[in-house]
Amino acid sequence: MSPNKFPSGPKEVYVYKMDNNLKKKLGMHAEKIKEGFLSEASIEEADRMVAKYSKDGPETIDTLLNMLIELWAEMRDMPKSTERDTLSEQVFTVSHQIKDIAALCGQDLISDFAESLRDYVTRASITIDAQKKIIQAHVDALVVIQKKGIDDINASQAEELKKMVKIAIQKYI
Amino acid sequence: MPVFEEKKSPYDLTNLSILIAEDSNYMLSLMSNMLKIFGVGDVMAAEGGREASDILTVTQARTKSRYIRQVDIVLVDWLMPKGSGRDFLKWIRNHDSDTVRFIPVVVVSGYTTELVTAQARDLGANEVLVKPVSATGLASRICAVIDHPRPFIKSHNYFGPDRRRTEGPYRGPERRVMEAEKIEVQHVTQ
Repeated sequence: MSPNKFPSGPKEVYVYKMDNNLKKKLGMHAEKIKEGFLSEASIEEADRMVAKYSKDGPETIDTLLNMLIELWAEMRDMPKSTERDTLSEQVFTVSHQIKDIAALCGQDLISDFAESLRDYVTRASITIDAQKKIIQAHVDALVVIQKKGIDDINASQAEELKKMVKIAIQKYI
Repeated sequence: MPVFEEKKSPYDLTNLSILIAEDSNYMLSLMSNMLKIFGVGDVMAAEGGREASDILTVTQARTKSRYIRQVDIVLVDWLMPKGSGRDFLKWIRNHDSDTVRFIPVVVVSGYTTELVTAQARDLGANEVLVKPVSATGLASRICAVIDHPRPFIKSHNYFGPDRRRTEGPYRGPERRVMEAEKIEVQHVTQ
């Protein structure tokens, strides 16, 4: 045996073999039914429901976007403080939620910008003007894409837009 | 030839109880409705890790009550302001009670980075489901948890399901802290 890689820690390892209680609970024989499945009909019905949620998604994104605008307006000129940190966390959470819902609805551009904003807010100190401008640019882009419905701009334009934001972020992180 | 061959029929999840910890109402509603369509008997919801741990404290208590169903599977969002999925998963795997620490956990994450997947795995998640959630994706994770309960491993720096999903000869450098024959195996029935 090779030298212990974790010399300070205890050397015991335990393995707990589990009874398949979930299968028992479902009334299935763990040995006879190795792999189960859910009914195709229920998966199809769930898919239809996801499609319905996707239709309602833009409305939810609208609401979250309005929250984002208000949060950003409140925090942008605030000096560094715990209150601003709290607002920053909320911007992070709201942009994360926008990202998830937009991804579900197939609004990839909104999802990309929301993700970029979410990640930037955690990394940047937001103390210099350039950093504030980057956040403002994200918020503006999200508003334009959502309100004007330009999520279907062609792939090369979208890539160009994302590239420009990425360069600015790298410069002012 | 077996005399009696059990017919393959879809799972009936009526007896199953699933807890979802998710801060977004939209996602929470979507996932809980999906589970109800799948036929899950009891779907509980928490808006964050802290509320979810309160729920588990009550549901997993040893005192049996016909009115309180034990949670069988936990679906947890990774990023939540009111108690993150990461902290909640740590809380579960470090819990004193077997009914809590062995509970299967599926991490549902909007982060697609390998780092988050690795973190979730190393904190003891059974499965990781990447958002946006699809019906097929959710169904496959639930079936994986039911069909393949991996043994739990306890070492000085890890407690959770065995991170190796396949059994085979190990070809990497020898880093084991203990010889395989000396590892103590316990049987958990809960």
